[in-house]
Amino acid sequence: MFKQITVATLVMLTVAWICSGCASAGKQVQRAAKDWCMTIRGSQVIPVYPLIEDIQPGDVFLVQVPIDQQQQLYKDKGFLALDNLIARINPSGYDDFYSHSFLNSEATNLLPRDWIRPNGIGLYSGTNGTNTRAWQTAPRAAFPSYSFTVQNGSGLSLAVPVSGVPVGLSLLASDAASGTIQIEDARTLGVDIISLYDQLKSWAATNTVFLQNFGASTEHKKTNYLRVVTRVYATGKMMVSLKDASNRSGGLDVGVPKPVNLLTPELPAAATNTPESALKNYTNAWNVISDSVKGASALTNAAGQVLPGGSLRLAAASARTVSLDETFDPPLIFGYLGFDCAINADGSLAPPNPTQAVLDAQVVNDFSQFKTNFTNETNSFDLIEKAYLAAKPQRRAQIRDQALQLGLIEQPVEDARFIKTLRRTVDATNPVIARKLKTLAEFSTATP
Amino acid sequence: MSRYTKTVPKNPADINATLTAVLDLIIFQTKDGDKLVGYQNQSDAAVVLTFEGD
Repeated sequence: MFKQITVATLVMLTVAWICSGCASAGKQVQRAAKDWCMTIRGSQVIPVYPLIEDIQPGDVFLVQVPIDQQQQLYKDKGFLALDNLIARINPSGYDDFYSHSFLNSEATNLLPRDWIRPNGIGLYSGTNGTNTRAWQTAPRAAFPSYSFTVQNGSGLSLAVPVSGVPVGLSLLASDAASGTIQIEDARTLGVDIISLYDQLKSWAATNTVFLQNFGASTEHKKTNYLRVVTRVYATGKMMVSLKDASNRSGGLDVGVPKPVNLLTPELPAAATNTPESALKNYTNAWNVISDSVKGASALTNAAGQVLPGGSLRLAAASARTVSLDETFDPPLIFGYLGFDCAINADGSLAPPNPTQAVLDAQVVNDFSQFKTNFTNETNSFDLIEKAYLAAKPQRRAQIRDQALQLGLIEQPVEDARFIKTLRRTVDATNPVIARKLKTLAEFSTATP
Repeated sequence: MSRYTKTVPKNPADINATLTAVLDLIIFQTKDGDKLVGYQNQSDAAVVLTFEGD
């Protein structure tokens, strides 16, 4: 009975271990989003995720995340959520912006409608739009194609949220994969910041009461922003080519562990030989398992008896290729540019800052780093001060000595001046000081 | 008398955050009797504060 339960448990645990790649699907989806957005960001465009048709210049979003946290979110997630759309301004500057270049002087030019939906109509019927001229008159844009290769079991470094690929590349959790992706038929639509900022100020003047709810007050240090989209990028076609070979193996040991080798998958050379690749990978896996069994029986004691214990190993292998040309008809927006305005306490707006510059600005990074260091250093200092004031003279001398050795004080100081001297060394622009203060705090609070 | 300076980087997109950081630093540095005796509001990137104490 006990043996049956143990074997059953082993099997369940092993299967669960093998399937653990599927258990982290949530993280893999997030990773897919981030991978995609990082790719778009590389082209100096702020990503839109998911791809959407309904975003256009003049859209006004309320941003309630502090700028330094935005940077962290942008870094962690790869994109900024656009979930608080509070207004849609109809930019009046299109005519001046495009009249001498892209607008047809002999036709009506009501932007963005006449570029997104020429003749005012266009339905998406499941496979292709009925308005084949959507975005065709808009200025073109181009993005470089890129390719990737991975050869490990930790997941891929790139993922594509294209509906033709049912799961992002990261979801494949492959051991080996390679592929290429190309953004084609890209178009752009934009308007100048000055005219849009003027319109935004007019809009803000008529919505002061609403904006006052989000103005920076003296009690609350938080600042809210309005983010205004000035340019969008759309894509009408994506070409994706993927080659994937994956395998999984796992196991559990009871008693004396037995040797088990892991597998190295082989990528299919083309779509025509994926069955051969899968078969070869599976055969290799089977051979590895056979070797494991032989290795297990070789583990004997001095009397030649096989040592007690068991190891269970399972393996699976697959290979596939995915190649597609996916058309977005009508095209979808995948990125944008814009500017941010802080909302003042009285509901008025601060001057505009380009969103990209705000997110990437070194000075903002410096400030964010300063804040982090200042918090860490003052926390360490408080610990040191508390421990020092509670310590006996001999222990105080040890703490002062340690501070001297760390270089936090330049020369020996008397007991009464130590805290004051140490306080002057706090420097949040210097991460080295932060580390030294942390070391001294750990020393001070440790039991002597 | 001992005189020293501390620098606070500016956050150009958030004046309130910069002001808060400056005030927090002043409160911290003056707890043991040092005084704020000067400042430079550098237009490009930072505020430099000068403190003095015995």
